[in-house]
Parts: sequence; structure tokens; C-alpha cells
Amino acid sequence: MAKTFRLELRARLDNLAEIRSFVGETARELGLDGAAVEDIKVCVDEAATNIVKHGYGSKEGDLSVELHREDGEVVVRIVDRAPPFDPESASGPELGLPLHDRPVGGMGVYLMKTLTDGLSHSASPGGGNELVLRKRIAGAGNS
Amino acid sequence: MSSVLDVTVSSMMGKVPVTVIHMNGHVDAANVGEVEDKATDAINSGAANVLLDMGKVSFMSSAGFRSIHKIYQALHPEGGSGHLKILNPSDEIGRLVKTLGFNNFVTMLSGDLKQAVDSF
Repeated sequence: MAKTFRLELRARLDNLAEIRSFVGETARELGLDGAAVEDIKVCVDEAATNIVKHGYGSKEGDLSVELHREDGEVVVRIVDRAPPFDPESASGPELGLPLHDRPVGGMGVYLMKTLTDGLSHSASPGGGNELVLRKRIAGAGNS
Repeated sequence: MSSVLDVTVSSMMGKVPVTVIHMNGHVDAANVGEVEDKATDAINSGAANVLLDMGKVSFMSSAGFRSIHKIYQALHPEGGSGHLKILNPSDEIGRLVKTLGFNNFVTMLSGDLKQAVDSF
């Protein structure tokens, strides 16, 4: 069983820096390189921000972030107890439009989809969400 | 551990007046309001050219891009480019600028501040 690194904390915007620090250090330890580490930090930040702002909204709750290495990838599992929200259902930015005509928003989920090698969401049976992000390790075989 | 971001604003004169927003730290959803508020204040006070000095920004999430988008729209209500530029973004932020399709509208510069101001 691959070693799993876990952080659990209150879902608050002022905890984003701690989440990024944990994800960056752990992802590096698990084998991601510089640019990939930055990518996964952005993606987890986006996921956590969505949980705080759109998931729990005016309420406060917990979230956990777990990382492990599996089949040549770093796998990040983010769990909350907020109402179900599937990022796949969110519309992305209208990149075909010039910036002055483009509606503001939709970029966070788009970055999560673009900067990872896999994104899946499931609603937990007892309530809440589980979001799994995958990032391939450059040069890694399956391990 | 909360996100630390210092934002200061200065006015510089090149060929035209340029408002420079200097940022130092991480830009995320917790603190991006400060960037947006200071840029909005400057634009409401008549600033027409804005340079985002990002050489000391080591992280920026979509919250920061959302603000840049709003600043761009305030400066370019009819479209176009040239009134909002980004100086010395990190490699990651530069990649995100392109991923989000901002690069055709917001110029990215590298080098020193005076040259960047003179480019407006």
C-alpha cells in the first residue's frame, strides 16, 4: 500500500497558503518536478477555493487533502462535507471571445481540467464530495 | 498560515503616465481583493495605463486572473490592447496567462521597470 500523506483543516480562505505548502512539499517528495508541482498547487488551490466559496458558502466545514503515488502519477484526493458539486458540470471560460467581451469567471475549473492528467468527482453517500486529481510524473514508469 | 501579499501603487512618467501596481507574495482568493481595490481606485482616479509588477509574485490562482480580467475590461471597454501590461511574471504565471488566452490582450514584459514604463 502506497504511503498516503494527509492534511485536514477548516475550509477557510486563510488556510489556502497552508494547503499549497503541504501539497507542494508532498508532491515534490512523491516525485513531481518543478513545473508539475506548481501546476498541482494551482489545481488544489482552485478546488479548495471552490469548496470554501461555493461548497460551504456562508457556513464553515472541514476539508481534507490526501496525496499518494500510484502508477506513475501523484494522486490528490480532496474530500469535503459540502453539498454535492461536480466541477465537470461547470462551464469554462469562453476562450474564443476577446477579453473585453468574455464573461469573467470559469477559469478555476478550466485550470483544474487543463493542468492535470485526470479529474474525477463523486458525491459521497453520506453527503459531501470527493474530488480526485491526477498528475503524471515525468519519466516515471508504473510503480 | 495565511497568504501574505503586499500591494503598493506608484505613478511613473514615461511617454505617458503609468500607474504601477507592485505585488509581493502569493495572490489567491484570500487576498486578491486588495489588488482589485487598488487598481479600481487608480482607474477611477483617471489612470489609463496600468503596469502589474509581478516579479515578486511566486503564486497566483484564477482569483488573480479574474482580477486582471476585470482591470483589463475597465481599461479597454472597447477592446484592443496596450493599456495593461504584466512585468516579470514567473514561468508558471506566464504559462497560465497563455493557457487562459490572456496573452493576445495583455502584454507580458521582462526586464527593468523603467523600460516597461517607457513601453506604454
